[in-house]
Amino acid sequence: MKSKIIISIIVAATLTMSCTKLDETTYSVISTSEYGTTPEELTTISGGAYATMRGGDEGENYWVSGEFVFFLNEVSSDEATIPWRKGNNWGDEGVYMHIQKHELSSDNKVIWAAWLYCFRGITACNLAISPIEASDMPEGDKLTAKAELRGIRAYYYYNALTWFGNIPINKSFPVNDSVLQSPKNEVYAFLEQELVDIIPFLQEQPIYGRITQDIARGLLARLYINSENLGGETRWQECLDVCSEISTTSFPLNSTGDYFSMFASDNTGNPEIMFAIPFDFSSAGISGNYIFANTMHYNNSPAFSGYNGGGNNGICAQPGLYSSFDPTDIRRESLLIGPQISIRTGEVIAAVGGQGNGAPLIYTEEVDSAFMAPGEALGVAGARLFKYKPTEGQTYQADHDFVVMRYAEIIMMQAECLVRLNRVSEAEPYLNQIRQRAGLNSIALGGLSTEDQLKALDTEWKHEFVFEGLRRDVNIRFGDYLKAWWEKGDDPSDKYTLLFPIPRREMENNPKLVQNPGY
Amino acid sequence: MKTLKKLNYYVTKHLMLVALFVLAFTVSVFAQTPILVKGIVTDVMGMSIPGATVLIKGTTNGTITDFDGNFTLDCDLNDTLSVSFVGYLTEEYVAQEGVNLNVLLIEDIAKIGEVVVVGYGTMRKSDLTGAITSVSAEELHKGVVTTTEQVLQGKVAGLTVIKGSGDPTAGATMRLRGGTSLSASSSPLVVVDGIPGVDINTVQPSDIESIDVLKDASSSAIYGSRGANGVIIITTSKPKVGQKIDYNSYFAWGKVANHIDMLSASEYRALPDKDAAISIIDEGASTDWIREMEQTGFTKSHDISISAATEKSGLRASVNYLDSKGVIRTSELKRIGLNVSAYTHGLNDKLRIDLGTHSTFDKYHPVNTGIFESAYNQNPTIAVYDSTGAYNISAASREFTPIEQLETDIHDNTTNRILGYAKADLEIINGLNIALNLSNELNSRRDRIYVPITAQRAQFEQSAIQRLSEYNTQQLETYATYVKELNSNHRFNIMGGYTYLNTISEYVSAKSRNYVTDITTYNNLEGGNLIALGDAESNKKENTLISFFGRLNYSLKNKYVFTGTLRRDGSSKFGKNEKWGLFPSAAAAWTVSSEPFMASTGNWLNNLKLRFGYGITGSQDAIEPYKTLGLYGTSSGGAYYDAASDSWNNSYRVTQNENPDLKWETTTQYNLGMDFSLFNKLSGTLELYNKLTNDLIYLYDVPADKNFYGQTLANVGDLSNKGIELSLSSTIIQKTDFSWDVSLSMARNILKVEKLSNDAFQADSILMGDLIGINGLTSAQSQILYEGGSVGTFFVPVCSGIDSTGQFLDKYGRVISSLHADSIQNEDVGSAQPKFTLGFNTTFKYKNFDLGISTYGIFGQKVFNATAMVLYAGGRIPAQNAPVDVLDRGITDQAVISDYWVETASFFRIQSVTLGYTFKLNTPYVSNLRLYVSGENLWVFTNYSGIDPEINIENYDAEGKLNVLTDPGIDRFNVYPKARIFSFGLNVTF
Repeated sequence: MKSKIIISIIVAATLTMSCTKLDETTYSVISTSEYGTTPEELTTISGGAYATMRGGDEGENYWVSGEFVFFLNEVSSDEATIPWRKGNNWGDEGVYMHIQKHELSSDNKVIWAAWLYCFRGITACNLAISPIEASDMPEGDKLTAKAELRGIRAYYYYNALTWFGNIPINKSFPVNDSVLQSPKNEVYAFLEQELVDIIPFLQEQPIYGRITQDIARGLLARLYINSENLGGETRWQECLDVCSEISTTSFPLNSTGDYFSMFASDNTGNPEIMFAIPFDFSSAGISGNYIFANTMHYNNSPAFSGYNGGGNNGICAQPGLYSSFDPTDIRRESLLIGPQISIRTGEVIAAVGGQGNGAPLIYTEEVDSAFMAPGEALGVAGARLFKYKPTEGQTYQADHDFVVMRYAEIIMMQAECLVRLNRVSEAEPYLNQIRQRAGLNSIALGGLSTEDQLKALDTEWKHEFVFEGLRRDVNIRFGDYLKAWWEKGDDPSDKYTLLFPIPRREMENNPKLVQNPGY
Repeated sequence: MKTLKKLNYYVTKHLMLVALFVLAFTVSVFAQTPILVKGIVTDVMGMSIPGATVLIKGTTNGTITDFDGNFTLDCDLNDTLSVSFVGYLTEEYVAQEGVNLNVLLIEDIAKIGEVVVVGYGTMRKSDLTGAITSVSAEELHKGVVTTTEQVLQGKVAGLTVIKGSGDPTAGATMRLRGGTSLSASSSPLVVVDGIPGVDINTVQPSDIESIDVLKDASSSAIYGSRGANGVIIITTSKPKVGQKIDYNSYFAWGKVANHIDMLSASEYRALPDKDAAISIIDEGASTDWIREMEQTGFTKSHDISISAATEKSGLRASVNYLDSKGVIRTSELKRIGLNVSAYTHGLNDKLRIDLGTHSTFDKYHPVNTGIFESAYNQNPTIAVYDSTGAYNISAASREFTPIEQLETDIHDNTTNRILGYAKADLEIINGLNIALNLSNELNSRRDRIYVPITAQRAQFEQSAIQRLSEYNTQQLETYATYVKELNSNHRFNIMGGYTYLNTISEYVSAKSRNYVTDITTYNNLEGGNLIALGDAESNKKENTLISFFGRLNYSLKNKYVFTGTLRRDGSSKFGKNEKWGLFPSAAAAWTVSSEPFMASTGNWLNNLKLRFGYGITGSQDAIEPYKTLGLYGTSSGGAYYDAASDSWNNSYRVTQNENPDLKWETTTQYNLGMDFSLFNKLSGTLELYNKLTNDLIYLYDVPADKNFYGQTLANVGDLSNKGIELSLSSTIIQKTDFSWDVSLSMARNILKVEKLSNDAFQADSILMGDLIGINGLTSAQSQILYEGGSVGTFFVPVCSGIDSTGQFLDKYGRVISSLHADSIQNEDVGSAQPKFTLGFNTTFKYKNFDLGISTYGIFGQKVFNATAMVLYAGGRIPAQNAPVDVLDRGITDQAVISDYWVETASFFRIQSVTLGYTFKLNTPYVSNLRLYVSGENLWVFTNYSGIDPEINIENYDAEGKLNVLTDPGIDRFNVYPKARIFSFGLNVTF
């Protein structure tokens, strides 16, 4: 009997031991090591670098058109505000209020979102660059293949430079652990060199939504015009030079009547747009551009034909912005103000949401004490963004491509650089081209004091690019960013608020990060 | 087809193994001198005992008494017959020819002789060394049970069962001794008829015979990496000798038990009279939005079971039908349960084969819980319908009309659970048995959702969706058991085995948008005009678990018992170097009362047993498959625009960071226990335990400058649970006409985060307790995880009061809402973990009447009443409704997080009171008939101000799996109210 038991145990053990295979069989997931080997697969990874431009919501919501990225540039400038409205709407523990007042802490989630936007994007580019480098492609082909990805990366680095200054320069994936932060001026130099290096390898002809030679030049021009802040010295001439290399025919200015077509729901391929982040909520299964819904009052929908997306009643213009427009300026329509009339009834809509006492929905330019008493601003306060206009059948998330760069910006850069270089008469045609398109009279810069020349330029920047996310850089460049305006006091004299703090979350996750001075 | 082949291969392969086992032995045959013994088994009250086991001692041959307590048995002259029944002391008789045995069984107050189901086998209660609580069918909670966990509510010390929602389609959460994981389910492992890992809802309450709860590691370690959260072993009803038909039915009516008193339309209109500064929007109607959504819930249940068995073979089958309409309109659950079990003997009774299936088929309509928030917000002067009978979409409202949402919510789900098993048990020699269990469990859930064109919410997305998820588990388990008694002093119980588990889960979902007609609803996916990228999804996952296990139980002189177990588990889910884990346990018990020196106490101390156990268990279910790999994939919304083709294409990106070193969470547990019974009246168990979970798996944030994917799953941190449990039960009175039983269970558990960091990942604390969805607090968090704190620790400013202007002040007298985020002083103001749990049950029997009362309570837990925080916030009037005492509170501040809203939510609930009457019928047609009336959720004693203090403690992990420890105790709007239920029922046996 004993022997039988022993035999049976041996038999059982032998059999069961053979059933110990524990390798994972994958079906619907792809292991990192398996992917990125064919050109087609590489294209999908490059596509990821473009897709990341829309933002995302892993960790924190960082959609480019959303509360936390686009609004950061807008609300920290003298252009826009997100009042803490009655009903505790848009309080969010004061994150927008603190940005507005430049009272920044490393805990501010909007700033964390901005960091995520930059570095998720940079890594997305590196994810595509590294397999190209590792491939057996000839070196020349590699440069071409990498150039566009380095161009996308430059867009992210530009944002990271202007927001955070001192940042790690990561050029590959996985990231070498020894990469530490570089000082702001070195990041500037790196970015300049990148753009200069890639231009010859980029496509010459424009391709909508892609980084081509002229887009890289546009980014370089932005870098140069903001060079005093970002790089430490002014480089107006370099800006002018690179602007002059941009094709004057590829991105013709739209006519006066077509100004708003650049921001229409079907703006894909609009001639004046140099670079835009495409959105197509309706059919691409992606998150839409929801700037429009974020600014409109909850009850505003009946005022727009076929619009059914409601509103969040968030961002609006700071008082004074609307009235700074000349009444004949067609761009004044970039802001929405006054009574909102229901198309169906012809009557003024009743405002209910938020402060909602059923009062008529009449947007006021005035914003009553946006932050003096948190949560007290009226729901109807503030002129609304009205560049990205709604279309028939539009829902909460819309299809408007998010405009990043358009040719008018190149013209304005040329005008400004020429003024800065004291070549005022040369500057006039550039500036007036923009003014005339807006339905305004030409201006004779020569007759103005230097101060007024700059003021005229500043005003033009403000009006032409209202709510296009450029205002923060312009404010810094014209020396207004640190001054007191509206509900913001003077910034601290040591100017540390020119940079945002490194987010606390990121410093915890990567203990090697060093906080920016002052924070 | 491929799967089927694989299955065939797999079954064949393992069947061969068994065949070889069989061949390796020869079947011994014994000589017999047969006689026929007849008898009847009764208790001291003269009631016959059906289902008692009559065994020829030293064999597995025997029979079971029929419904009238009668039995007949073939045996040899002078065989010793042992007669046993759960809860009674075993009696022995010597078989004599021609004698009618009158067996009198005496109730066993200490339950010494009771057989307890343990992992892979059964054990005499006297041989137990671990902390195991057994609950018989009679003791289980009855009533309107829509999710099987409810039967254990308040029944087992240390087991917390929470059903935070009154929705009949909602599940419940079980937590044994605290919970062990921050990112994985903390649900105990459920074993049904020996098959581990079964969805508890596969078994319907009326089919449960008994439940054994393995609480400590020395008893659950036999389940190794699956046992860290304890094990619940369910034994279902088996065929009983004879034939019978049982029919049980009830009808139950429910009403919402509690409301938040919101302003009625007239109260709302009267507000300006109380405070002239208030303006209102009067739309002219009077609507109570909450009550408009309610109805009288109605549940009907029918169970019928048939059972036919002889000594050697038996068959039992049952069908259950449950139709439960909830107290909120449209919510409904319809369930059909189907169970069959059969067994017979072969090979001269040496082989027993069991075949069976448990299955449930659910159809249900869950309500979208967002409607509750809408209903609280909606102005009470708005009419539900306009003059034409259409939904009244008022311009004065920001809300989607609650009734419109409720009535246009087309959402039909089905869940099917099918468990099939085949078991073989072969006696090789006397005392040595080999068992083989094969099982297949298929759980599938299908969701069908349609947003009508006309629905208000169609403005966000108009679509039809169908989803199907299937989860199929195949298991093979084989083990040998050897029981040997060497004279009466040494008793060995040795078991060893092997198990192979393979799970495949598949998911497919398709969506179609922009319909032009609602006629086809979700049934015609090709009818929509848009199918966007990402609208079709599917995935498939597979994982394998292989285990070797063994147990040695040695009882010396029936006084000293030792148990040791060892299990080695290998899981495909873990990284190459961490696939295998070893899970040992050891325990000892000493029956002190059997010692000679205790003889003098024998008259009052019937039993005293001390136990000590130690063991290591793991958390195999802590992660999903493929979690250690770095992955590339498309992600939802990750398309990019290709200008050349003017089309949108999928991009691929890193969707998961690699961590090849990811390993099991392991839990080390010590348990000290004492069983006692006094005066043959009171018996009890006291347990002390200390559990430490190491290598907690958590999705940690990683730096964005180094990773594309922002989080990596890693082993970081330790968590401990320490506690004490006491169970007492007593038959206070036992007389011919009157009996009174009580049972009480109490438990205290302290959960503590011991560590949060390792070398690579460091965190002093992690903020959690998101208040997502609460206006103005989208990014706010209310809880903190820190070393030394509990899970669910509220971390908020301490409020010292409300100033004259209606603003919250912190303890430094500052207006909280005016503070910058970095100057807010948050403090630990207590945890959502209960401090103490209690269950109390009592039964009275007088003549034909029986009265049962079940109660339970949970004490000391904090709840963040976010519902009140929002409803009392300033500025709600006039657009939104507010509670009746909104002016008395005088809050003008917006929703401000502080301990003002953190309440102690201790409660004690009268769960059910049941009065029954059993007809003593003297008819051959009906052998038993009982009618009863029952009230459920009759009263809740609590100081909690919200709608119900029993707040869901579970959360979903990243995979959507229920019962993760984090973010407990937040009372949000979206709670489906509990019902107060009255029912009428009938039990009849033919």
